[in-house]
Amino acid sequence: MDPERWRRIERIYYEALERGADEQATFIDEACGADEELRHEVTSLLSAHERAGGFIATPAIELEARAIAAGNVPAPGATTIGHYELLSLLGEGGMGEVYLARDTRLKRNVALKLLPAAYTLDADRVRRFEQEALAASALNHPNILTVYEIGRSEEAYFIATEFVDGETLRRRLERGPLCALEVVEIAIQIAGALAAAHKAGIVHRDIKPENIMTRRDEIVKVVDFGLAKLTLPDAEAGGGDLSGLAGGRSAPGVIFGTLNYMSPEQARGSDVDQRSDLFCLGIVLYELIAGRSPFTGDTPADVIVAILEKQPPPLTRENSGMPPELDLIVTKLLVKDRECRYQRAEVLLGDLQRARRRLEFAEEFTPTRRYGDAVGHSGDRTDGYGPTGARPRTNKVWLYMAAASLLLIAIFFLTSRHFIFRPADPRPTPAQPAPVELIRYFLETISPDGVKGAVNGLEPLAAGLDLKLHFTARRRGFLYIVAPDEKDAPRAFLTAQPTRSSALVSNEVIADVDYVFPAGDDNWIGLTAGARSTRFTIVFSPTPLRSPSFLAAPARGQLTPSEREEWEAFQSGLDRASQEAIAGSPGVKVTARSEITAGQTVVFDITIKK
Amino acid sequence: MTELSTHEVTHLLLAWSDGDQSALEKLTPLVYAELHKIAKRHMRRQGENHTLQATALVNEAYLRLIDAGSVRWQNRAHFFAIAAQLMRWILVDFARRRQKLKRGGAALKVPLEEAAGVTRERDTDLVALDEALSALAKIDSRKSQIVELRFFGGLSVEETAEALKISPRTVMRQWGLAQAWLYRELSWTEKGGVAEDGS
Repeated sequence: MDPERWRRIERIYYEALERGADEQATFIDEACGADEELRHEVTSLLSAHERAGGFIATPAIELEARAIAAGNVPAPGATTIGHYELLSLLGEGGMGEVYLARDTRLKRNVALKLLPAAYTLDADRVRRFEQEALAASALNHPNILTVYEIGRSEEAYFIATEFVDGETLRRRLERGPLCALEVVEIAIQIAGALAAAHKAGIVHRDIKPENIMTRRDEIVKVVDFGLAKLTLPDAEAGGGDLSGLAGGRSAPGVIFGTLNYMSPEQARGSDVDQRSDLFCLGIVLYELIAGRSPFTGDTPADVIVAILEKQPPPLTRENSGMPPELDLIVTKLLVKDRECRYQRAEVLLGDLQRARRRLEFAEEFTPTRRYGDAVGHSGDRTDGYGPTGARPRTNKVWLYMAAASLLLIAIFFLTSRHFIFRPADPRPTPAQPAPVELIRYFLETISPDGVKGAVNGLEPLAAGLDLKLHFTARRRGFLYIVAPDEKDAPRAFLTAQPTRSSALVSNEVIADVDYVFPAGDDNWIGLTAGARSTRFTIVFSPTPLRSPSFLAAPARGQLTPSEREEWEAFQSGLDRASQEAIAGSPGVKVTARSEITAGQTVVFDITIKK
Repeated sequence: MTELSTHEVTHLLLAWSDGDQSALEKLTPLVYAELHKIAKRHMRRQGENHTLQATALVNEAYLRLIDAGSVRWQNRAHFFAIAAQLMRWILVDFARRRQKLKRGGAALKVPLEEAAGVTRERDTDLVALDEALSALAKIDSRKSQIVELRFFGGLSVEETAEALKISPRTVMRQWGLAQAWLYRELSWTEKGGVAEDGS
């Protein structure tokens, strides 16, 4: 523009501004005359002046600083990293930015993760991370993210992996809890990935919703194998020092995000093995079902305490639509003592696959209702899995299943049949502590033609059924099963038969593990043809029982005459103790035996009527 | 990216102000990284108030980067002019890079839609504003300079007046017109070309 003309525009503009609105138009008319272009220049500037409203009043650097502080601005960097051309930012977090990038050599799209410099200072750790990440990728497992390259550019370490068109479980969780079948489908794929990795001696160490992606076609990918070698405190080197996680960080989300997905052994700083991955998977599954983390707290220390000591509420309570067997699987994953947890991902995989078959089957018969939909409708128990004992839908399902002669493991928790400990004094006093749930049981049945089911033993049993007893203690203790008490053949059973996944060979039971008696697919308790009822006496004690001594004998030991004497004395001792029936459970007697250990031992009978 | 001493940074800055463009490429990441650090610290200090003193930010960035004692700036105005130019270059450059990244990914679902949306809008504005400012410089370099000092350099009206050796009132008047001109330019461009960004 001609400078002279611009000065003219400027002058008219300033003068017009100084005039009032009514004078302005006249002034512009006079000043511009017939020069329409000039008039347009001035009036458009005046109108822009009114609308501009100080749109550049906030300095750019301040805007930038705000965006930086709010975390809205990707870190500075070039648009190419090595031979990768960055196309778009997919996400960013504590582990650095992830870009969709184009591999200019192989002409394919990749996900390119840039590692923050803080994680790549220790060359040794970087080397270990590379080894493990590449080893996991080399397994070629469909549920393990393929790593193409780990490299270093001028700017940063980067990991180029296959691009997953989907979302993380974290993001999926933001839309609310999943239904049972969805959870099982996802869990099966994760368990498959872990089984393959564990078999190759690779532990993930950082299983959490952020590290699991679901593709649009519902394929699950476990990502970041080996990365924990860089990001988590080095147990070997640091002796379990948590300061790297809990100290000096200003963003609580970061701390908690990491802490919430720790196994008890990790929290203690012990070395980590494949069973830690299983625990963490348990946390993830719990969250997928309940919509919230099982271990929470206001401070990092509270979270750690919860992981080490607290039992999360049963999932069937968190999400009333959840089938109990999924609850059981998660419970077995979340056992604090890793010796008593699921030991191998393959075993978990088998349980999950059975659960899926059953869920799919159940869905066919309840097409209008999916498990898990009951979140937020906890008062609505019509799905049949509520703890109230009213289970019309479920019973129907069982009937269908029996009719179809399906061989399915039927695990059924009767959550209403809790055994509740009360102090020896039968008179309730106001100071009496709230009853504590000690142990749960149910009876698994099998018909002569192989159909499995579950009963509580309180109603008469259909003819010909054989039994297994399932017990789950809510805390560590010692379990003794004595049965049946027929005069001609008293036999003492110990809970020495461990479940498949448990290494236990004694009466000691671990909290929240399902103990099956007798164990093994072919072992069932057959009831004597003539008897009208059969009674099992169960003793659950916090300490090993010293008397009678035969309880320490091998399982299914045939009693010698002296042991039988001991047994009879023991039985009469039980009879002398104050007995208290739980209301509404006529078949169950709960007896506190003050002479053994004050307050904690519970003895009860399960009477099976034919 | 290697750490450079304040001495080297100062050297680069002087080289750049003497017209050495390659010095700028070395300076940019350093200054931006410093800005990142300072911004985060300022934000933490300010807490929820979110009051950021732009001048304080720039001053701190330069204090940390530039060994002011060892340089004989021609005058204060010279220093501010260089500072504002550098900030303009850096901020626009990064906005442009980010804009390019996001445009490439327009067809994709970006997980951080919200954050990205805010950034994208701002980046588009900043790049377009830079172009408009260059156009303004061609017809009125003084007004362009005022905007550069105030908007990119974070200077107050008084500081701008001092740097340019004009009265604060003149700064205000010219700033007002420059703002109107830029706003008009941007809304015209929006109707014409920039809207394709929204694809």
